Amino acid sequence: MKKCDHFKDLILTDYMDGELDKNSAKNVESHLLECSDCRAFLKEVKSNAALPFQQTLHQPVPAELWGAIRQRIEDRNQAVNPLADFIEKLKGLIVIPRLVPVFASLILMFLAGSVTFIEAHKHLWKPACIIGVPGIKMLALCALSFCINNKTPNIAAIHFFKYINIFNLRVGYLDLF
Amino acid sequence: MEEISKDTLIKASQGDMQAFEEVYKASSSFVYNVAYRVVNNREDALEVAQEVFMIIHDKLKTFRFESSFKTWTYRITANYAINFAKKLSRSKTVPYEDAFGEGAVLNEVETQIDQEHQSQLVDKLLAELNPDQRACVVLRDIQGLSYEEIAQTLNININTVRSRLKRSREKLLSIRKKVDYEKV
Repeated sequence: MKKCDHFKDLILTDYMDGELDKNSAKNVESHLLECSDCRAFLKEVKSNAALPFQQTLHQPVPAELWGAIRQRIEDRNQAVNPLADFIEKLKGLIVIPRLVPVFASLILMFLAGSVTFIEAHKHLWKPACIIGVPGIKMLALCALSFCINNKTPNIAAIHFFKYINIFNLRVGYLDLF
Repeated sequence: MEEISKDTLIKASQGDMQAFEEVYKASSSFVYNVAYRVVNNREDALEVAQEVFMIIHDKLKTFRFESSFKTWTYRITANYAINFAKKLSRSKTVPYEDAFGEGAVLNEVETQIDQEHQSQLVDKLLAELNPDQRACVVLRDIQGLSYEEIAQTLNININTVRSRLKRSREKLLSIRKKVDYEKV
């Protein structure tokens, strides 16, 4: 009987569903040949627990289904604000830079210009040179820390430190001209 | 379910309604029939199918073709229908007498009956199973999915598929025996 229980489990699932490998299926079939109880069980399972489902026809899809879906999609598309949609599309096309790196870049560019100006005109405007240089040095370090904190490669920063030696504020920017 | 080209899916994901209609035509029979059999009535099946297609429409944008569209659709449909049926079954239960009426109806299985009766019989048999078992039986015996496909669709272990089918079929057999006993 224990042997039959094992085969009945297989009949209920893998054997009936064709999920057994060839050898296991052959074992079940050999057992079925010699066991009338299991044969009757297979017939019972097939006719009451599988065939009613396997023989049933698929339900036709109601015609109104597509109409309802299309209507919902169209309603939703109309409900979307066209201006908001346009801005969203625009955002996808244009990369809007983040504000902090932009400000940091502007500060660096301004400082580079200031240092250049002061170095070039210090003979004309001495006070600017005296007050300006230490202040510029501080601001440059602040702007640099902004760039580092934002982990943003900053073209202005690169230019700034390429042409200006921040420790003695020697000007190289003028070399460009 | 019919095959759908990648090109059509991409167009549909970009909002092309004609392409989405093609997607609908290829998959509506599967979606509606699974919904119908799992929730077990026409009105709720229409609601489920509608929601499933709205989900497909919305999520197609994020579909990355890592799994097949077929399996993806099976999963959305089966899971939505099961959850819907679970909510339904919490609010109402189908008593045995209502589901079967006169017990003799099950004996009609072995005779050739017309399709309408066949479909009603299937409705009544499925009403006896819980939503998880129902989904397994529908995917296996009505939609013809393999154990592996059912496991992927329902995101469950293949042994869980096996045990759900086993319990479902044991239950269906016991119902039959009960009906036979009552008939005597």
